[in-house]
Amino acid sequence: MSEFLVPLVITAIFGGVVSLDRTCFGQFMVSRPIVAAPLLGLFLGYPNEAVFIGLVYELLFLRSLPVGAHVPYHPLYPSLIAVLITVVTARSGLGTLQSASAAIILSLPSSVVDRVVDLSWRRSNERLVTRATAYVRLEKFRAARAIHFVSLGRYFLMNTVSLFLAGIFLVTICSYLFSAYPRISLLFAGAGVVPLFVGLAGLTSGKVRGKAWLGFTFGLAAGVLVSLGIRL
Amino acid sequence: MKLSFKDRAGFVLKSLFLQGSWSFRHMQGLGFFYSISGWLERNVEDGTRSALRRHLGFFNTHPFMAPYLIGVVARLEKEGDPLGSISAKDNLMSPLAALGDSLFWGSLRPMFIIIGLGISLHTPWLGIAYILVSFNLFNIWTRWTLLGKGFDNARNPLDFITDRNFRGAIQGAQLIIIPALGFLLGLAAFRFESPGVSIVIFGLSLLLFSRGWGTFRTFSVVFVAVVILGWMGFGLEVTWLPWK
Repeated sequence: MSEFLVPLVITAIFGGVVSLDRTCFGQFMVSRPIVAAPLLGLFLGYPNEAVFIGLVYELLFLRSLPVGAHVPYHPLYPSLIAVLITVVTARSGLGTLQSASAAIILSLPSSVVDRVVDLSWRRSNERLVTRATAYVRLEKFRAARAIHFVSLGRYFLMNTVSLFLAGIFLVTICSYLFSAYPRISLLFAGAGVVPLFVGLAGLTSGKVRGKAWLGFTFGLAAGVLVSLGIRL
Repeated sequence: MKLSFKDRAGFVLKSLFLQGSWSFRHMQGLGFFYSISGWLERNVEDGTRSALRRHLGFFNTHPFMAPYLIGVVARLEKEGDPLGSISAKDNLMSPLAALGDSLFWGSLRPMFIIIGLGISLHTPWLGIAYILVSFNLFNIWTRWTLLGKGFDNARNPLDFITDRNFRGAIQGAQLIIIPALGFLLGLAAFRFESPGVSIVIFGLSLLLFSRGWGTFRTFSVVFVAVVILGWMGFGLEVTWLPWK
């Protein structure tokens, strides 16, 4: 039980804290999957697989931008849950370390939960300015400022609880799948790598136009040479 | 008139919480109020309450560019020009948002991440550290500098928007992003042990972007494609990563 519960609680609390970086505080990039997933993996003892998960999710979601009132799908939940699934299944002997690829695919739908939580938090904030105005009218300026932090605390709690519940749901499903179909992680092993390249391709398509192809080809050639050089 | 170090640091710290209570109705309104209210309490002697109410409403701009407007409003309110502060805020928040979105979200963030990912393929933790340090140096430096510029240029705040340095920074970042993308693709595709797999992956990627795979709004399609490819049994193992 502790093999499941301890990582789940760590993931939920870590996710709650890190989610603040996404909108509420700073935007220091800590909530990006390339940072958040390896950090969680480090806490849970599987940093290498977590780096791979973070890398794949980062590329898949790099183009989803929070412009104006648009709330894009965010890769925080799926990347953290993918790390959790990898750790839990590996520790309980259901999956192998290669199950990271399967975890990437199976945790992807949790980005929908992530977005629903974010949207409901934003909607729940709509009355805060009215409350703050009432406090200003009463000259309770500190109370007006404190409302801002109530919202921040609520964001942390909503994300922690949602991650906990989404984690239970997805880890249970994956544990069942991995025990019922032991070869599933092998089937998904290649699929985990594909988003990495789909992500790169999607990222490149809008940008490489006209003369930019020259720079792109130069970079591509350099990359291939460095890659082959490293292997040799 | 100059901002003291303490005031400046306080504004920058508070600006980090600008989106702490983001809502669809007032967007960053309460965050802006939180950032400026302490200053208004200390510096607007007559009518603190009405000054606070003036700045408790709708506000939305790019979070990294907001300190510029905080600086402008702080100066104008201290000089007793409430109408000027409201007009500057209303007129500048949208252009600053557009500028910030294209500079930070559209150019600098992808640039730092792509370079960081390239480093990560070789030394993961170095790549992650690079992304965090480089982006956040820009983040804090921008907030700190813009706050001072806003306070100094409060009477002519539009001068800053027409600054050519911004356009140069965006074009410079775009110039780096494209070769870096090519480099990352080349680096990643040819790290497989099997040359056949490299060629398939490489060809798939080239095909996708040459056919104009522009957006990821339809990520359900990607998901289905990924699952199908997985079930087709690509058979790759994740042992191609150098740190395994």
